[in-house]
Formats: sequence, C-alpha cells, structure tokens
Amino acid sequence: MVLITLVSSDEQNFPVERELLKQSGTIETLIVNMNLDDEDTDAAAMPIPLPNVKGDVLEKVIQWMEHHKGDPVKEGDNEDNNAEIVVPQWDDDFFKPAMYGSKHLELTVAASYLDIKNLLTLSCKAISNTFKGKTGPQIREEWGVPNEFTPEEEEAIRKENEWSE
Amino acid sequence: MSPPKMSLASLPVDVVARILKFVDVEHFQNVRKISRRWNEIVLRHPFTKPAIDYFSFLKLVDQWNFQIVLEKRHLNYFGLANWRKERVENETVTVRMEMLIKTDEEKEKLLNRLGLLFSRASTIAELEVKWLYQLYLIDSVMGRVKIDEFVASTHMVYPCQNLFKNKHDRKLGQPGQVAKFVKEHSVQKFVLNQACLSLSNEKADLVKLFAEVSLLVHCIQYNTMDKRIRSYAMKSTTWNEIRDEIARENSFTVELDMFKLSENNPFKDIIVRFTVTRSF
Repeated sequence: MVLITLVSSDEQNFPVERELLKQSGTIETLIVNMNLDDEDTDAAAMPIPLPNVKGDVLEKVIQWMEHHKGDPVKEGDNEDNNAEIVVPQWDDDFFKPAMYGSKHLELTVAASYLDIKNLLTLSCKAISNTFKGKTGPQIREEWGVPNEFTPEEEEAIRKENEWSE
Repeated sequence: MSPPKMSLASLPVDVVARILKFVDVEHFQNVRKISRRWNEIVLRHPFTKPAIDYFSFLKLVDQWNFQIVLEKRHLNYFGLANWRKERVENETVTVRMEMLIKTDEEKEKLLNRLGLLFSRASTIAELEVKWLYQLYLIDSVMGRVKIDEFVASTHMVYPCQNLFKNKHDRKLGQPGQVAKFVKEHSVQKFVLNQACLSLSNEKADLVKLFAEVSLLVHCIQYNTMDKRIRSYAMKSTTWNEIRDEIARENSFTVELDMFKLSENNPFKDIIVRFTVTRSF
C-alpha cells in the first residue's frame, strides 16, 4: 500500500493511502506534477504541502474520504440535479456536530480548495438544508452572523419580494 | 493573534454560489439577508433566477391576453398564483390571464407588474408575440431577459406603419428593430410566420430581414403561405429564385421547404419555409 504524506498549514503530517487521494482533484494534479506515481520516486520522502488547510480540518477531510473510499468520483463540472440530492444519513451524522459553526464552513472551503466534488456537494446541501423555513434574521442568529443591514435596507429587500397581485 | 473564525458571511464567492444552487428561489429573499455579500451574490448570479418556459402575448382591442408556462413551484415567486390555471402537468403549470386595460393608469400598472415579472426571470425559453407589431407594447419593460426562441406572426415583413398610434410606437415597424430586439435578448432562434408574402412588394424586405437577423441567431425560420392559383412547379420556381436571392445577398445557405396543405388540392395553399441554421 503506497502512502502519501499531506502536510497541513499548521505543519501536521498525515500519511494517507494513495487510493483515497483520487477523490481530490487538486491533490491528484499535484501527485502527477510531482511524479509521485512513478516507481522510481520515493513518495514517502516527498510530502504534499496544503497551506490552505489546517490540521484539524484535514483530519476530518481524510476521515470523510476513508468512509467514501471506492465511491465514483465526479468528472468535470457536470451540474447535479440539485432537487434530487439527499444527504445520506452517515454524512448527516458526520456534519451535524460541527454544523452552525466555523468548523463545518472550513470543511466546506477545504472541499472546494481540494476539489473533492462529492464532499463539497453534500456539505453545501447540508448548509442549505439549515436555511429551510427560516427568515433571514433566524439564519443569522443560528449561524452567529452579525446583522450588517439597516432596518431600511431590510425593508427594501422585503418590499422587493412582496409584489404579487 | 489567531485569524478570525470563518463565518457564513465570509465564505468565498464560489462556495456561496454553490450553496445557492440548493436553495429554492422562494427562499432567496431570506438568504439575501444573511449579509451584504450574500445579497450581492444572489443578485449577481443568473442561476438564482428561474426560467419561464413559455410566454405569449396578444392584444385584442382593449383586452391584453397572456399565457405563461412555468414550473408550479415558481407561481408565487412570479406573482401568478391567482392567474387561471389552464393545465397542470407534473411539475409544470400553464396559467392564463385576460385583462381589460382602458386607461393609461391601468396600462402603467400592468406594465410595472410585467417589468417585475421579467426582471425575476433568467430566461424565457419561448416568447410568442401573436402579432409582431404588438411587441412594442411590452418590449420596454422586458429588460435584458434572455430569450431562447422568439416566435412572432405578422401581416407584413416590416409591419405597416399605420398600425401604430403615434410616431414613438412606430419604431418597431422599422427595419433594424427586430434585429435590435433579437440582439438585446440574445435570441437563439427566431421564427416569423407571415400569413401571405406579397411577392411584388415585399421580396426585398424579406432579403433585408434575413440579412439583419441571421447573423445574430443560431437559427432563423420564416414561414408563409402561397395561395396563388398556379401550378406547384411554377410556385417552386418562384420560391427557389427567392431562396437564391436571400442566399446570394447574405452569403449563406438557405434551406427551402414547401409543404402542400392538402393532396386533394395540390395547386393552392403551399406552406413555404426558409431556414438558415448557423453554427457559431
């Protein structure tokens, strides 16, 4: 089993099975560029730095990839049929403890940076699920976002949307 | 000092855009209030607006008639929940409304509503204006909504100037105005149906129309009827000559199709179709 070492922004090392990393478009590109798949290259001696991902977030990403090992990897930028996407129970349980906090958002941004399409899709879907049936102020309160709008601006947005019949 | 914690308000634009793809349009007004940044992204991204499948318009004297086909879940978003539901198929609904508009005030109110409706749509898959000259009634409130297919009927290639009440309204009857509309709305396909082309008066106008529009769209289709009592072969000769003239003037290939309306009466009522399809 070939192991490749990922190095987080806070310089933690994570030896990861080569096969798992096929889920990340960004790491896959780096592996190719660094010739880490060549038999002559000592992959273990060439760690891949990921300066945009902190250790605790990278650990969660690897945990997610381990569970999804063998899942088909999406190619290109094909759009999902958004209405049909359901967050599986395992992923829901995986996201839940960090939901409404910065950790889940950091995981989502890491999925975007590392180009792990399935993780990004499910993570974004899980975030959008928290908006359902909530008003703007309720979403802000749950996610701890301070209100940037004046009452006049909020009223203007409300009026723009109230125009039926 | 540790960097500030990531918050919903500070997410990168591409991640916000990705999340928005999972949010129903009806809830956009709520997510717009998350932060100024979210508000800007919702307003900027075209995918945050739904499409209208079909929009048709016909004015009969003072009665303005509309028929719209759209996804059922967008009825409230477009303010059409109270319009008469003509047909409901799976996720799609056809709504219809006839409005008596007698005063300028009523007209202005209706146009304001239409303006809001068009501003809330990303695309109209098919816009059908039953009479081309009536396009001037609504084009001022259509903004820049994208139109995939534009279908119109007309008495004349360039509608008669006398049909317009005042000088300002006559602009749509003039050459160049259809092309302007097609360009402004990024029309992909333009279909013009003319009851009967006057061969002696309008041949040059037809050639001009193709020249104006064909460079802007992927496909232009023109349909007319030839009711002259002449043999099919003679009609065929005439229309092939016109086809060659359009092609020669514009340096592209024009397809000509002629359909007999009835086999029992083969010399009359021939439908003539010119089509130019371009690849960009």
